[in-house]
Amino acid sequence: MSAAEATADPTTAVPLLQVRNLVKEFRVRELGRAAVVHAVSDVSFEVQAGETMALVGESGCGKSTTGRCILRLIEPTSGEVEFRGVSVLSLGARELRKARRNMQIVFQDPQASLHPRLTVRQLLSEPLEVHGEPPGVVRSRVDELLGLVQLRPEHLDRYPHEFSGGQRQRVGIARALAISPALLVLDEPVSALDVSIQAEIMRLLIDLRERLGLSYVFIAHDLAVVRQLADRVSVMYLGKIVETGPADQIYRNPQHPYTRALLSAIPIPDPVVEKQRKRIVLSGELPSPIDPPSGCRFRTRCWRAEERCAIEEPALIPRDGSSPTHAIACHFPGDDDQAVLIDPVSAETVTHS
Amino acid sequence: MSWSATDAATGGPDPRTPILAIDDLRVTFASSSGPVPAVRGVSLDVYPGEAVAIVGESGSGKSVTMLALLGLLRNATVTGAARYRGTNLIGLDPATLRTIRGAKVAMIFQDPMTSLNPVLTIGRQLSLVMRSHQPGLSKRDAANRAVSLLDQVAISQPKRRCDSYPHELSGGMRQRVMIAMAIANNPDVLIADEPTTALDVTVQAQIMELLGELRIEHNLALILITHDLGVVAGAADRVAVMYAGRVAETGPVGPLFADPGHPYTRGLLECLPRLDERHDIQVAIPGVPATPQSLPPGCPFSPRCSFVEPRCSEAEPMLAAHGETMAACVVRTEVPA
Repeated sequence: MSAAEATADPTTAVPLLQVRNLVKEFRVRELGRAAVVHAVSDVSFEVQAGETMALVGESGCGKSTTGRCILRLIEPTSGEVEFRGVSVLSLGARELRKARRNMQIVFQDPQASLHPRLTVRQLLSEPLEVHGEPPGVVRSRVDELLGLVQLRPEHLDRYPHEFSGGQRQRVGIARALAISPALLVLDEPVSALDVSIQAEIMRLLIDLRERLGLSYVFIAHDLAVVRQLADRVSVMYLGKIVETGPADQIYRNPQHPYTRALLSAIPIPDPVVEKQRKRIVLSGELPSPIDPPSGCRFRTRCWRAEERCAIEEPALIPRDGSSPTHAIACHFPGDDDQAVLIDPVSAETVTHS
Repeated sequence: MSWSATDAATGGPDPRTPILAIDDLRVTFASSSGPVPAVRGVSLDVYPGEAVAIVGESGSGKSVTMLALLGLLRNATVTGAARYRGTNLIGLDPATLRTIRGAKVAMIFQDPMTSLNPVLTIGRQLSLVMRSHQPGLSKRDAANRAVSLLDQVAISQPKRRCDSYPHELSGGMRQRVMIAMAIANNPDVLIADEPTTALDVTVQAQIMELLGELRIEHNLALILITHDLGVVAGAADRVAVMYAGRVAETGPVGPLFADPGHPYTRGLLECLPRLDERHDIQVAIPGVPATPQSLPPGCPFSPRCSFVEPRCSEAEPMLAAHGETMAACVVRTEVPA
């Protein structure tokens, strides 16, 4: 399946990936009692061919669980995941393996996800062998992969521990690309790296996307990183998408109180800008996903919360006339708080009041 | 080799007295493959009530510098001086050091879970910290003060929380407890080593706000060790950028960000993704950071530097004036002809 086949008119074609009403609950025991962790609750989104959709949020929001459910590394409790219109969840083991040719994942920590006793050559050959490629094809593809992620032939016979963090992540990316997938789930691919190395890997991901026509589901907590490569952003809080839309809309015109608090909390490396910004500092703690608040899950920390928020769960509703869709799950969306956000285009501070 | 803001700006000595004066601090670890020079001559004056950030990537020596001056390193040779109110902490006898460390100079660490004792309640740990430095303090008074400390770091229901164990608290709350322990004995200097790195960004905002308030309230000198230039921009008065065990550049936060002298500082700022703009990501600093085991001759940054000249490999550059900052770069600190 080549990248060219995946490229089609996004308005008429079936989306590359469609996630509908995804639910993942984990059964746990807490203080000796059975309990259910509501990790992902009714999450829906789609990814068009060639597009990068970012799933962002803080620890425990369900972004990584969502990513793993897409590939069925974790079995979802309910919902639907379709790849090019074909249900992934109903596939048997053999068909699933075939489907995974199209979808691969890159993990945060290549130190942990690469087998320490395999050389780079073995690490890159393995996925090709698993998918039944003949030895000749494996050899030439391994060389090709090395070039794609800008590693050198002499790296082939080294082990993961002989590499720097950035180089190891290159190996992780090459391994994911081995069988030419159309979609990569990138789970915090740069957050374990030093800043100078982060830039390198981000540059590589952007170049690969263009060269190979890849689609990304980019899972990250760092919204400054996400800003650099996302086409669309979905913000998650406690297992739910609270706001989703084109990246520019999310950064320039956030409407959900949580999105606004999250963006205002991220420091900007510029003392002049920082002095002018006003932060929304959230009070209280993240509620337990075992017993999430009724109604809107963010209401316990929200300065706009009213009685209605505890009773009625807000649905993701598109803003009037927004195209592509910018949707917010809030009874009182808006920008009427006092937070000074940053206009991403002019890089000047603007007061939303 | 002082490099305070006033020095850089006026060329004259600072009229204030530093509360902590680090002078040519060097730390060498012994290893099976020979000595590892992790810190190679760091000098830094910290004045009462100010916030100084020490910035650097992994292995730059930023944490080791602070651990060394508190006598918290094993298997290391530490030379140079670190004077707290005139008393040199390096080589100080352990008993005297204990009267300063944890009392007058306190430290908080990145991961509060590994810094708190998992089998003692929060209240008991706070009491222990106070009673070990204030022998006259009764158990009852210490317990009462523990409650008020938790209140000061904005932990709700502080009385009840005193009976909690660390695992019952969230990451943000645990870091608040660490901060409460650090300020329990009214220190003048608080060293915070990546205090928010393990925390989510909205929790980071809470903790940085708390540290800022406490600093003003207690006139604390805050030494903030971090890799995050965003945090630095919002929280520090002065900055020291470390690379390969040395200070590469230092100066007041404004000029250092607006007109960095050292190519490393420039590169760090250029490659940083910013929330407020979408820009073409450039690999501003090629290669990997120099390690103490593999130092190139001359300037340690020269193999990655776009300003490099042949003379850069001749001798390791000293800090010299560049505008309002001091940078250790012979190419960039020359007076233009």
